[in-house]
Amino acid sequence: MSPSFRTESPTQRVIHILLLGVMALALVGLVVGLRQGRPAREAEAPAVVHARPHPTAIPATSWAEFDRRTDGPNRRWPPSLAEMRQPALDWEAEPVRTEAGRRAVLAARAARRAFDGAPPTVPHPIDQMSASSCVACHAEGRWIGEGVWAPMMSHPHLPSCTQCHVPKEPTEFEPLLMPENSFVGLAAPLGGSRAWEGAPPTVPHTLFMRNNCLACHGPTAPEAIRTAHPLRVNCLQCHAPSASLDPWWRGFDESDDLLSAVRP
Amino acid sequence: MNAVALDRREFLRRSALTAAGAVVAARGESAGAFSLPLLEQGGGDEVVWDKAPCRFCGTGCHVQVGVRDGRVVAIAGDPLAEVNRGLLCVKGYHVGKILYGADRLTTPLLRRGEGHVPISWDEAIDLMAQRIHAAPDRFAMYGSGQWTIGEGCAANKFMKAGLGSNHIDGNPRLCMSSAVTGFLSCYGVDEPAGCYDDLDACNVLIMWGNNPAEMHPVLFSRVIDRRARGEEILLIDIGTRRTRTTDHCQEYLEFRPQTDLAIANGIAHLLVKNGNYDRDFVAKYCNFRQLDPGQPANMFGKPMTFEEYGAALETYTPEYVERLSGVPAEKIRMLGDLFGDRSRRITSLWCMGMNQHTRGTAINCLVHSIHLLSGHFGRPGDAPTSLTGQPSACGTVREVGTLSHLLPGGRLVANEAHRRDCEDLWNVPPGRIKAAPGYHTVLMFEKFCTPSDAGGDIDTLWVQVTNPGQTLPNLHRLFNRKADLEGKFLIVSEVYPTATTRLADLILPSAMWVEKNGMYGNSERRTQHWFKMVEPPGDARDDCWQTIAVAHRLHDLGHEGMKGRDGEFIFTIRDESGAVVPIWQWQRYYDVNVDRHLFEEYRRFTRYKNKDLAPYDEYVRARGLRWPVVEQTDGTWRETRFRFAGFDDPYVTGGAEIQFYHSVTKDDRAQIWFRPYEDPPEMPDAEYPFWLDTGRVLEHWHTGTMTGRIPELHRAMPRAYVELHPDDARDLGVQRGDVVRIESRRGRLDLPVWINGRGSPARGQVFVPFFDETRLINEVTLDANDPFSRQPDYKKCAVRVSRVPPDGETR
Amino acid sequence: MPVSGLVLTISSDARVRESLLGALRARPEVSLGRCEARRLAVATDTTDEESDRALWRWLEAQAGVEHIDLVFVHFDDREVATHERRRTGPS
Repeated sequence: MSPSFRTESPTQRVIHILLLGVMALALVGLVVGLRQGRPAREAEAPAVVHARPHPTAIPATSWAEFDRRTDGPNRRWPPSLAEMRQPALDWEAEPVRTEAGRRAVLAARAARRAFDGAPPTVPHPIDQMSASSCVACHAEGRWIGEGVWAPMMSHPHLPSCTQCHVPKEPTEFEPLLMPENSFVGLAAPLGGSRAWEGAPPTVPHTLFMRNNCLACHGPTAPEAIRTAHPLRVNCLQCHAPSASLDPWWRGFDESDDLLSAVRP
Repeated sequence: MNAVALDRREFLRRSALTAAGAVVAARGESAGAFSLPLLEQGGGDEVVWDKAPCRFCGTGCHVQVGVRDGRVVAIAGDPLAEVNRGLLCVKGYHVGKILYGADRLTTPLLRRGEGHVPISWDEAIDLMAQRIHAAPDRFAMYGSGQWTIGEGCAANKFMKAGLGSNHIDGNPRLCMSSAVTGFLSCYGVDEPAGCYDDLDACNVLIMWGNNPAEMHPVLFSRVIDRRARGEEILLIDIGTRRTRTTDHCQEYLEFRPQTDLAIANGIAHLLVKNGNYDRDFVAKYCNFRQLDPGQPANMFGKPMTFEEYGAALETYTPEYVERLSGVPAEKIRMLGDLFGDRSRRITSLWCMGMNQHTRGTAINCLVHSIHLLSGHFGRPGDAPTSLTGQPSACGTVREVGTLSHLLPGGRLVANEAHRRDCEDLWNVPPGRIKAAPGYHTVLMFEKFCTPSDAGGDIDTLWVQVTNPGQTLPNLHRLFNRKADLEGKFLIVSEVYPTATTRLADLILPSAMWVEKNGMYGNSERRTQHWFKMVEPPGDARDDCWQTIAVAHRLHDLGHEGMKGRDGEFIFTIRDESGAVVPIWQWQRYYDVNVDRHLFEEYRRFTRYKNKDLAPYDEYVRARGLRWPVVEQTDGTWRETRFRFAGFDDPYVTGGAEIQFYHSVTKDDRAQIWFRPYEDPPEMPDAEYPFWLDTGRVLEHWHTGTMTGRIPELHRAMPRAYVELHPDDARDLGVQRGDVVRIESRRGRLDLPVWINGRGSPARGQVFVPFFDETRLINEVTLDANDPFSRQPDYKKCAVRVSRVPPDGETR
Repeated sequence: MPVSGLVLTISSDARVRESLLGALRARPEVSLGRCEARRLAVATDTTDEESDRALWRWLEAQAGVEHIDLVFVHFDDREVATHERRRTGPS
């Protein structure tokens, strides 16, 4: 449970291997994703990726028509993984990190969460039955179009993606009436604090379920929150996490024995 | 100001506008749907965190609730909780939002004509007490597996030991009473012997009509995460419909509805035939049992010999089972071989698929029986485990005994010694508790929806923490008829308007979840505790207070039942100085911890069936404890993970490996049952050619009263639909999004079609989720129920499906 | 010198809306941003807290403003500095 940092864990490696296996599935997943909004009025494509195809599934209509669709949030996605050009990474470049950029990144991040710590909603249609197509793009992160980054999973050991992440927009049917709710969520912090100018900033968020710092701060991350030194992999050596933010530490409040064990 | 400062201000202005614009864009058409967190410096420091079990399902995850300025602002999975180890599902992460729906009920409302008018709490309590006092025998209470333990204790005592009426039942009758009768028939005592630790140890997981990937996602992840770590686990889905769970399983065995009994018998047949059942385990710890044709209503049946058992199973060859169920004979053999292999660790999971079944008791008994016969019992990972749908169906209903035939701690209304025992513990005069069981749920609503002069002898019904107007089967018969009846009075304690409050004569606004103190008991015998963290809105008040306030008003009206042996009010609580605290006055209710007092009183009931609970304060410290919780010589309290297993259960005596110490046959043995396959009461025919299956979806919890108010969940799953097999859709000439009419002998409903969506039913079946309060599929379902558990079957009835033209009549 | 980002929920009545937008445009300390459905993004820039409060009250009083959400606040520089110091105590 202790916060650790790995560039590539054995689990990730398993997922990489899995990734190769699901390339074909991913294509189908993408195609599924390309359809959205009101139910389409064409015959059914095999929208579901099963381990074994349903014996009586209706054959798909031509995939060719899907990449001509111009509606929906996926309109900028190329229709195949092969066409998703991944720019070469520059591990040495110094990112230009501006306050405005950071606010923009955090605002975009916040727009998909009910509160800081909530699982983000999914801004595109999903395969309702299988998580395989999630992993195809999100295992390592991927540029899926100009300026559109599919973020890397920060907890790749949890394979049931749809358990926590649901589509932000109804994929099948229009909502009848949106519920009004006055919940106001905890804010995301704007940034960590520095002891003095030039000191490494503290980690302004929880580490729980964020096993991989590079998922959000690596060389593919938005410039404003990108690390300037991606090759230094032991992040927590210099960037101190906050006990008040991490739920793992909160539990110790009530137990004096444990508290004295960690706070002599 | 210099130029740099001006630039800086301009930049700030733009940032402010960008942030505001992002909100506008995010909210889009559905204004108010999302509450975006503020971006602020710091953040988090002034938030106070405390633990609570999640409000939703029976898994019993612990969440950490972040509170700032009297409002819940954040939720985190609790990493110290053994159940969920920091993980939640999408409902759990958004559970904080259930408190803040715009239409929370905040004042008591009394029916006036078609609408409701606000009244004061005093008027409401007085009205109820007067009505009950006038005809206590014609009053019933209907509660819930979402009652806290304290609420259930108060309601049970108020009814059984106060009013002397057993007309109190809970919605677990609709949800898990067949699991109860199954446990009782096999072990003589309710609730699973194993626990969630089995999920960490099993290497075969069989899900019987179960879709944990959506319904108990955290438990399902507990298993499939092991795979991600490289462990090998064989997952087998025995179901009638492909689901997200199926996607993770190596084996999917699709059976025809109701034939799960044939499959279980087929496995037993092979174990006996092949001789690879566990001879030692059976010889030492098991008897054989069957129903007694002379006494068909006796759940405990009569003994049978092993030879008779084998003969009864003779017909259930793999080929015969294939003909009945549609599952290939080779797959039945595969199951037989798995159970016959003692080196495997097999855990069975089930929930509504086996419980909501007119043969629910029978199939529950059969799954226990194949585990017992094969010896896959009592070792970590070898367990038949039923899951629950509600957070405290076990804690508040099965254990506290808030069903019409039960008394606390596993005692029975019909047993005189049990009644005396309870009268002593409750300190009420002997004879106070009536000997006849009260009305079970279906009967209770039948009586309430029948004219008073035509045998409908329940006139006043108080519903707390549940929504029967949406969840009862065959709603037209069991609920909607109330609208046209004179002299029937429906009282509903609720947090939001529901299908039930629509017909209510009096609506009481309730506090919910962390707006009150509470305790829950989850699927694995784990009792959990939380403290009140925020104030309820407006005039909303605790359900427990409502019960006590009505009881006290009855006491003032002179109802003798509201007095104990000593002449005191039955809910008398004293402070440290010995003075009575008037907890029936809302302003004084939190002067003491009423929950603690009720729990400590209830705790004394729990030893009888070895369901020992620890003192209240132990639960304050823990992330829940699994009973029996037994005090150790050093004064600490130890929970029990594996019941009846000598290595863990302190009540196993004499160094036995396994001891069923509440055995029906009083010989420390469990019962292996034979129960034959029988056709269900309604099957598809020429007129109604489809099976209808109903159930839940990941995003919504039961009737959506809470989850439907959470924008993130509502948007992801806004309305009910019907799943059709693609071939059936083609034959009907419908495509995705078209509207079809689902019609049974009882009701009809128009729904949009979703093909190859969230689930995919077999040919000839349709599936409809029941969460959508604007489309009540339970107006279509069947109210036939299991003869022992009285649990209805929501999983199969016959319907016809027809296309509704776009300009046709829709509802 | 507060700078705030606000989201106004405004009336769906077209006439009320037009006069409201006119009134907002007339105030130099208010900048208008994106507007979708009934939600309008606004940035306000005032000289001190008192005038910020006055502006807030003025906004609330406008016909056609049904609700105000605050989504962005910039504190005075000095305040930020104090806050920072508190947060950078021993960690």
